[in-house]
Amino acid sequence: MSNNILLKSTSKRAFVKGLSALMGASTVAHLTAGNALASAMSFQQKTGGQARKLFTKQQFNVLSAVCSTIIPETDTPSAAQLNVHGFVDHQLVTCHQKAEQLNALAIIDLINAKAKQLYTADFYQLTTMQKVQILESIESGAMGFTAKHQQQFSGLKALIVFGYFTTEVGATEVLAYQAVPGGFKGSVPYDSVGKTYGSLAYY
Amino acid sequence: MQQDIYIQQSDHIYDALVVGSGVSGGWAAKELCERGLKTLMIERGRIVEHRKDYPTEGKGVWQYPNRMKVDNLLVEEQYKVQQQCYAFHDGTKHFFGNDKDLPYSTKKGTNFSWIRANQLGGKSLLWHRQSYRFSDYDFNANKSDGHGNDWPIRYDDIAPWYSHVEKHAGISGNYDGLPQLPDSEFLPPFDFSSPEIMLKDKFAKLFPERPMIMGRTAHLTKPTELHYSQGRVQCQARNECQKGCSFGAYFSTQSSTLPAAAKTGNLHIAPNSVVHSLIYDEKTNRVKGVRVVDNDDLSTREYYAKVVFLCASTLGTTQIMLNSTSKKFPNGIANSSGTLGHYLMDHNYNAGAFGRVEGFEDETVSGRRPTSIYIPNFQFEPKRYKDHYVRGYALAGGAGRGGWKGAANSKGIGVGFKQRLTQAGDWYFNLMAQGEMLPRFENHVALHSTKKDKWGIPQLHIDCTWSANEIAMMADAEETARDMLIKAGLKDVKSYNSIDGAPPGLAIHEVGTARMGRDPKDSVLNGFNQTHDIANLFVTDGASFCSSAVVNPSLTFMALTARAVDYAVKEMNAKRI
Repeated sequence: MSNNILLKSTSKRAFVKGLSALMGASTVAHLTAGNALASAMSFQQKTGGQARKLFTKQQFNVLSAVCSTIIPETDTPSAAQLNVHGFVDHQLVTCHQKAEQLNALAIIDLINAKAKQLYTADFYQLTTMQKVQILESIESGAMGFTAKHQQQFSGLKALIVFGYFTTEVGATEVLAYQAVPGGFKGSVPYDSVGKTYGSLAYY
Repeated sequence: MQQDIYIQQSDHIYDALVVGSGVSGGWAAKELCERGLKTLMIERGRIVEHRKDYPTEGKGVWQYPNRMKVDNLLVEEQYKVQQQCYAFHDGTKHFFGNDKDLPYSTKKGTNFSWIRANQLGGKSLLWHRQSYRFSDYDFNANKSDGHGNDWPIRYDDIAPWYSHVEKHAGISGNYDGLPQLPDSEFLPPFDFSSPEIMLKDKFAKLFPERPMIMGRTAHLTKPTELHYSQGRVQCQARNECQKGCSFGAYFSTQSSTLPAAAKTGNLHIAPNSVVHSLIYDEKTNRVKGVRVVDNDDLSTREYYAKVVFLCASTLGTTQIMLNSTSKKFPNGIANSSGTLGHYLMDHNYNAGAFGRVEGFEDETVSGRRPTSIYIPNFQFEPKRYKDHYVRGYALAGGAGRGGWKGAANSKGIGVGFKQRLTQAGDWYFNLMAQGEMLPRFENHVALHSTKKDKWGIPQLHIDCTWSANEIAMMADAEETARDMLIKAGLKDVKSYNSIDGAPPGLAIHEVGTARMGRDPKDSVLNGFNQTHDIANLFVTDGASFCSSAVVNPSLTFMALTARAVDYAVKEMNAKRI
C-alpha cells in the first residue's frame, strides 16, 4: 500500500511540475487551489534543496521572531528555540488549506511591513518591546490593523501554540504529561498537578 | 497467535464459516469454536496481531511529523470519507479503509458517510466502546407506535445472552436500576469529576425523569480471572484506544474473543479474502460456502461449510447478500420478502449544548477517562413522546477544564500569555444528543447497475436521508440541552444543531437492511437471526436490527450473535440444519 501512495504522489507532483514549466510556478500556484495540489506544489520547493516549504528566507526569519515573541524564553524554551517556525512552515503546507497558507504569508508580510514603516528595520531586528507592541496592535485593531488582519494573525498564532505544545519539551516539560496515567481519578488537588495537561487523547 | 491458524486455499468442508472478524464475527467464532465446531473466520483485510500490529500505540504527539494531523494529499486521495470520523488521525489511519479502493455511490442530492475498517478485528479496534442493553421499551417501540416491524424478540429472550457476553467482554458501569436502561453485569464504574457530581445532583432535582449516570463502557476497571485468562489487564485511562491497546483493557476481537476462539484449536482464519457472494445449492436449499476474491492478487477461491454466519458489518453483509443471486433468489439471497437492503438506520448525533461551570478551580482530574456521562433516553415510551415527533434521544457529555488548545485563540502576547497557557482554565460541561432514527423503507441500499470495485463486486448505491422526525428531534434536543444547562446554572451557554450539514453514517451505528421479524413476507431473518428462506444462513451483525433504539448497538451485536450460535448449534445437533 505504501508503494501505491508513493506512486500516486509522484504522478501528481510530476503533473504540477509539468504545469509549472508551461505556465510559471506562481501562476500554477494560483490555479491549483486544491489542497493536494498545493501540497505537491510545495513539495517541489523542498526538493529544490531548501528545508523551507512555504516561506521565503526573509519571511521565515520574521516568522521565527513572531514565534519567540508570542511564546518567549522563560524558565522553559521559546517557540523559536523549539523550531516551531519550522513546524509551522511544514504544517501549513502538509495539513492546512491553501487559504490558510495565504493568510499566514500575508500577515507575516504585513508584520514586517509595519516594522519597516515604524522603525525602518525588519521585524526580527526590533527590540522585544517593539515586537510585542506590533503583535498586540494586531490583536487590538490598533495601528491600522483590521478585523481581517486579526483573523489572519489568530490562525497563525493558534498554529504556533499548537506547534509549541506538541513538541516533546512543550508537551512533557512545560505542561503536565501522563503517558500512562494508571487509571482515572475524578478529583485530585490542582496543586498536585500544578499545570494543565499536555497529554491529550485527541490533538 | 500460532501461524498455522491462517490459511489460504482449502477444500475442507468446515462446520461453520464466519464472514467478518469485528465485534460480531469475533463473537460468532468464539461461540462456535467453544461448542466444538471447526470454524473458518473469513476476513477481507490484512492480519492485525494483538500488540505486534499496533505501530502507533504509545507514541508521543511529537513523534508524528504532522503532530497527529493527516497529510492533505493522502486525505484527498484516500480518506475523503474516512477523515470525517472523529477518531481518524495520523495514529489511527491505518485501521481505516482506503476510500479509493472502497467506492460506493449515493443517490443524487443525498449523502451517506460509510466508515470502513477492513482488517482483522474490523471496527472492534476503532469502536467507542459504549455498551448498553436494549430494554423492552426498545423491543416494543416499533409495535407500539407503528414505525417499522415488530421485533420478534423481547428483553427476556436476550437478557441471559447480554449477561453471557458482558462477563467475558468486561463492561464497566454503575447499577442504576433504570427501567429504560437495564443494568449489565458490571465492573466498577469510572469516576465522576466534582463538577459532574454537582450537576448530577442539580439535574436530579430539576429533571428527576432525566437521571445522569456514568457512561457504561467495555473497559476493564477491575479485571476478573476470566479477563486475566484472556491476557488482559486493567485500563490505564490513556483514552488512546483506537491505536490499539496492548493492555487489552478494552474489548476488541484481538483482546477478547480471538484468544478464546484460538484456544479451542477449532479456529482457522482466512485473511485477505474478500467475499464476493454466497454459493447456493438450489436442490438442498442450503448455502454451501462462499466465493472469495483475493484482496491482493485478485485470484479467486471458495470456502465451504455446513453453516454460514454473515458478520461482515451491516452494509458489508447486505452487499454480499444482494450480490448472491440465483434462479430462486434473483434479487439477492434469502430475499423472498423484498426487504433486503431496506430500512437502513444510523443514530443522529447532531445537536448539543455546552457552558462554563463556575468554581472547582482547586481541583482537576488525573488520567483520561475513556467514557462520558450519560443521560439515558427519557422519551422511551409513547406516553413520554413529544407532541410533534416520536421516540427520543440520550444525552452524553462531561466536564473538563479548559486547556491550551482553547486558550490558543485568546488574546495575549509574551510571557503572561505563555504562563496562562500552562495553567488549566475554567471548567466546561457539554451535552450531546444521540437520537433514534426511524426505520423507513425508503432508506435503502442496492447494487449499482454498472459500477464495480476492484474485486469485481458491484458497488453499493445508498439512498438514505433524515426524515422530518429526526429533524424535529434534533431541534428539540438542542433546545432541551440548552435549557438544562441554563437551569443548572452554567454560564456562557451555547448550543448547536448540525443536522443540515451532516448526512447519516457518522455515528457509525448503521443498522438494518436485513431485518428480523416474525413474518417471512416482511423480514429477512427470524427471531434467531436465521434467514427465513435458508436454514443454514445466519446474519448476526447490525443488518438484523428492526429499529435503531437510542443506545449504542455493539453490545446487542454481541448478545444476538452468541444467542444465534447457541440456536444454530442446537439445530445442527437436531439435524434440522
